[in-house]
Amino acid sequence: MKTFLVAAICLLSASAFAQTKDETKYRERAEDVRKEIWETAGPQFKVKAVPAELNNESAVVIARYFEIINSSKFRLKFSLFGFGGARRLSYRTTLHERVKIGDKAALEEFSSIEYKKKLDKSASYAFAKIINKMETYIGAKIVKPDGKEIIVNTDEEVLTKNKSKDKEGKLAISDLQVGDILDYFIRIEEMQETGAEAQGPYSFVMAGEYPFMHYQVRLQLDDKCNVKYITANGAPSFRESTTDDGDFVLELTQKNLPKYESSMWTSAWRQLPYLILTYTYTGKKGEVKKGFMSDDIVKNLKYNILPYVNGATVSMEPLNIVYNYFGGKKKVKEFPADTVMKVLYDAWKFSTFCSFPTDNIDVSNDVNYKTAPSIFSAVSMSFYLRSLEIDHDLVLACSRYSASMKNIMGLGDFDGLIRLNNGKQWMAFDDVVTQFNEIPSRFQGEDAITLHPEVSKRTVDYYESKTKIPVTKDVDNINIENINVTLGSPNMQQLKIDRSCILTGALRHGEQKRLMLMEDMEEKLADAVNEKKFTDRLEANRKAQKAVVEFAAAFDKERKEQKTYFKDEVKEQFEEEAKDLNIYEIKSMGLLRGENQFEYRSTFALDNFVKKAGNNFIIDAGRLIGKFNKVEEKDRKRTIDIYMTCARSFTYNITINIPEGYTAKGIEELNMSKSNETGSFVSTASSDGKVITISVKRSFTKNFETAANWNKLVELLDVVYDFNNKKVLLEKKK
Amino acid sequence: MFFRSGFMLTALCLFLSIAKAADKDTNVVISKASEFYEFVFNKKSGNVEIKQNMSTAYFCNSFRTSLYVVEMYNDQTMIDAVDFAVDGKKPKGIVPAYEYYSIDNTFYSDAKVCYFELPIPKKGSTSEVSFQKTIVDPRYFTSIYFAEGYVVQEKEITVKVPKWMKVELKEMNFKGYNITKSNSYDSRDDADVYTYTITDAPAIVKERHSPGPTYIYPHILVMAKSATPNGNSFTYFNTLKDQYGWYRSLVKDIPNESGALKTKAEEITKGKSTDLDKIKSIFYWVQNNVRYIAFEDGIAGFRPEKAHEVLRRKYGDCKGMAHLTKELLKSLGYDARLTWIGTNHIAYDYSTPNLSVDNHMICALNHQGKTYFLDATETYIGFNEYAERIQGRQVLIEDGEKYILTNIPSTNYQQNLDKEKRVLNISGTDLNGSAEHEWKGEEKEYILTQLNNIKKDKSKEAFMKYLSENNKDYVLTDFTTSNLEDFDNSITAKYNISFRNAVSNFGKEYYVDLDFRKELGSFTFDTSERTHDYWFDYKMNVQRETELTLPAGYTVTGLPANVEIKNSDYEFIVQYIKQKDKLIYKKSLVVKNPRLSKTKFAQWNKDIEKLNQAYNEQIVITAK
Repeated sequence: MKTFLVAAICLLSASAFAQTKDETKYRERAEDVRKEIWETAGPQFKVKAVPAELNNESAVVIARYFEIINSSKFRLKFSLFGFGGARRLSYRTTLHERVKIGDKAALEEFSSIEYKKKLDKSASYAFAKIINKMETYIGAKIVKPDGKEIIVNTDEEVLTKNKSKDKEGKLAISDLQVGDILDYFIRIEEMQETGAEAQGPYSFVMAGEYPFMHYQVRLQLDDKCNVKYITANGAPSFRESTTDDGDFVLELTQKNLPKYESSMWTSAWRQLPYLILTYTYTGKKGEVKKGFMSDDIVKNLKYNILPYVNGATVSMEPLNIVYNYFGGKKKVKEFPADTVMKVLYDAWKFSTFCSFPTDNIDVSNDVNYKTAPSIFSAVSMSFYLRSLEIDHDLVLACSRYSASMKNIMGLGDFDGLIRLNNGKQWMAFDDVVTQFNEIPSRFQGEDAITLHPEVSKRTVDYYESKTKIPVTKDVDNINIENINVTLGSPNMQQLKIDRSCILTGALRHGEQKRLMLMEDMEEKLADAVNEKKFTDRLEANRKAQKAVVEFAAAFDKERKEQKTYFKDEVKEQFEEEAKDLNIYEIKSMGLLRGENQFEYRSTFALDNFVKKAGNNFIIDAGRLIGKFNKVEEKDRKRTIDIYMTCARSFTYNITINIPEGYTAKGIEELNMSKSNETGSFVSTASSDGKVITISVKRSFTKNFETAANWNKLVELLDVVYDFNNKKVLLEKKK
Repeated sequence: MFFRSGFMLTALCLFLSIAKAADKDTNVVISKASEFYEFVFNKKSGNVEIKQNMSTAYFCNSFRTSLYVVEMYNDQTMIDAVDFAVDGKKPKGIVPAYEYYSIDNTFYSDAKVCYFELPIPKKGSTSEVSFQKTIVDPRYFTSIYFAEGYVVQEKEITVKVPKWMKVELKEMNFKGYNITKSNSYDSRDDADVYTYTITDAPAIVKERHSPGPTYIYPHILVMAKSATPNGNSFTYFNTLKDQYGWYRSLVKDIPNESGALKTKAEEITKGKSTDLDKIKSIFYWVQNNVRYIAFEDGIAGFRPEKAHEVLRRKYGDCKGMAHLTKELLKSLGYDARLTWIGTNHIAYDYSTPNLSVDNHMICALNHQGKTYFLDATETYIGFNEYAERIQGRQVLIEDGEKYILTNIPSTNYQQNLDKEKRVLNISGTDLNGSAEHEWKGEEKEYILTQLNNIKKDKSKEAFMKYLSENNKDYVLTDFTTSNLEDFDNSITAKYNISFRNAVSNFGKEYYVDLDFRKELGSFTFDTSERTHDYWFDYKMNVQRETELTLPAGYTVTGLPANVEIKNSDYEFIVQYIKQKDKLIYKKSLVVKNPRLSKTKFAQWNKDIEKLNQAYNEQIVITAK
């Protein structure tokens, strides 16, 4: 017992000693880092004043310096299996920033730093130890308006995780006040032996939340790294050089970068200048490559991924469903490819979206928002189509709201589609409501790469070409609302509304996913491909049978929620609570080929649309098309191009029943018209004494306009805003 | 704004569990739960501890799911063991995680959470969880709650109290719940055993603007008084004097560098001649220059930071800010004292000595026979103005070895003011004119808080948007404000208005809506949904006046009816006054009692409907 006790004490002491030693080592290193960063900082980190024109800014970044230094060395390690070489890579990342605090909002923003202080995932195998650890060092000093510098005591940190190998910290910056300059840094030092993972991507955007006076990036990367970077949207390039021992050096210095101001209808990845970089340690002489990378990415897909796509690597379920649908594998060939491909697409949708985990039931509205991985799905679909001997192209494209094709860094930046019949038909792999031959609006108009599979006896070769994704027109993306309005009785200040909406194209998706129930969608999709609905499929499975009654209960619970989804839709459209929502129904699901439109109806009452004025009533007729905002003065001038979702058109057919004993006035004011090359707005109104009939048609011609056309779009936005404020008087007959 | 209190961990436990449960969902219910507490004497540490055994059985009514089990702990309440089973078997692969728990608005606390996901694999399944915990000091054992994040079919709470332990178990909010109680005597351990059983308890419902949990959920307030185990003698909070004594022991010997504090106090008050001006400038300086950062770390959750350290750091929690305020004032010779207080989030007062009675610290100042209360965590409130959350609350003021028990004044709604006066005329279909605003008290604090949260280059624009209700046709020009750094006075704003298309013109008639803001117009309660009373942030006092000059040759032919709703809780008054060539519209909306009981929701809804009817009426002006 005594022996054990002594041994235990020894162990404890050793551990305590090790901890102290670790702590001492950390402190010494922290001090070295502090000296290194603050003593070698450039003259921009000595600046104490900001130009007068920046005095009203919340904060001004006087200087930002971002640095990565990645070096490697070799050492021999003894392992159980003999001598082997192990790479030990060190990554050193520094962010050094000097910020003038202009107000309390910035004070709050910069008043604390949170960081992962230490993470040691090193692992021991027999006599060998594989190093994988990181440590973070922080430092901060404050420059008071009188020039006095105060070093922040980083020992005032609190540890929110404090394990010997995993520490997280937080530091509240002492003595920081509005008007001060905060000069702080975060240095992360990592050491890895476990392999060369791709680092990044690191993005450097030439604009920020606050204006920058000086912005500098320096990357010193081992010459055994492959470095890839891109400059996008007019961003400057890195200055490339090498150190004496061959390391790659990439540097960038910018002065007076503006802050980023948000505005409507933009695509940040297409409009803001930025650089993006990744690098990978390969262990052999590397290179720095700038610019267009999609060729390499496509090559990698063609030669390293596609050849391995087969029945063992993709789900065979969609194919099997198709075979069953047509009465067997051989029978499929008897049907036109046009028919088969449509069934196949529905089978893929069914297979992707219509199965639910049986260990934890979740059939809430959230499941409607599931999306498919498009590259994997397109590659799988290409395999199915090849199996069915249907000619097609695998298409690679980028979203209009992400990096353009010339600026992509990896396969993950691409999305996949399938093109059929020489471009007459398409398959997209997106959400459960996407239909055959429907291309999500975010790809429309984009340049794309096509890969045409040519099947020989043993191999498949892909022939590469280019194309442009077709763009839908305003007539393809429609929103039609038929709104019948009656004044309440006896409360004439409440409108009773019967509203039916028809949505097509890109305008369908949001409401389809909000309003429909997965139970109904699943059943419809199952029916379309001659499969049993989910609960029937479970019933047939002896192991899963017991879950049937539970799924029924979960579906039932979700069905009870549907009314709230309709109420939410009304509230979003009219900015008023829907009262007495009695009827709510989906009239056409818009889920499958041949059923292009999504149609729903609800009846409800709305307050606050009718004002009483003496014996008369004034109806906010213009608001019945929903509420629109006016373009603010500061937004009327625009220098950046306009990215809209899609070309689209809206039609509102409104009938207001005139109560007995009243006459309608002011109807002529509702006749408005404005058309230009970007779209149109036309409203007409008339009355036969019993009913006021208002027809509104507005459309946007394209999904993209140049900044030069902004004033024309503003004309259309102004006219709809004016219409929004139009009223109709119901005057009591004398 | 809170310092560490015994209330904190309990409240966190309650709300964490409901964070993961759907309050009205009965798919999962707690079919059986038990909590067993026993006071024991730990011979090794020489302290009385509380051993806690909790077990909860979750039953699946409809469909398989999973739930997140979360259990809080900290340096005083430790988890000794956790166990779980699904239908009687221990599931594989579930490893409870133990993490720091990040609390909103708290920079750092010692609160930690043990959590894991527990499956309930089929309808009819029962998943069970048990925790064994130790509370290392009876002072930290403050309350036991019955309600859970799920409907509770049956829960038994047992407290075993050895005869050597003096503790009072006070039953709180039992009314309306099925709770039975039985007592027995355990002769083997010479202990009284108190057993409470609740059946069919509804799940906790989290609603905004609700009273704190101490007001609404059944619980036992545990007041540990004293203990004499094994010949030892411990006094906990036998009386308030003991609780004060404990607090006092934590604050009395904090070493402060009085020189630095005095130098700063003199610098802050330089040029101020009267005592009140000096006192105010100290208070405003702390408000404006010391950031509120909450720390709740063990005993440091009760002991204020050294005043000169708060001064150096320019940040602190409520205790630190109160301490700095006190020491700065003291250095100038004023009688300033630390003051403990439970905000209105807590139902108790100091008549029940217990660590969950208070959650905040401020500074009391005795000056010329009057006591002022200074709460610098209320960043933009004026001197001698009191936030709703501390108004009328009982306070414990330090007084050497004694203490002073008193209350913060309850100010009425007139402390707060949101006033607007507009003078308008009709020009075509536009309304043109000018407006003046004034804000006082908590209305002022609200405006200044919002403005200071916005970057200053956007602040004026945001203020104007707020005043125009983001209506792009309500154009403000020549916008000026009073000094927004001056919290001592009300703040004001002035501007000219051009309200485009505000007038509807049909033939010879103009239709004008003189109410632009329509406050409370849609503020009704869904009585089928709302479970708890509604507590306004503060007493509302909205005063509006619009003077409309009639166009020459026109007269008012249609005027909405006036509205006058008055009761002990609120008053809504809408009034039109016709003058020769003018029309005056006046509106007064006053919420005198910010705690609106759910029994009054129906009446409130009717009254709002009347107000809304008035809002939806327009005046008619016709050519003579």
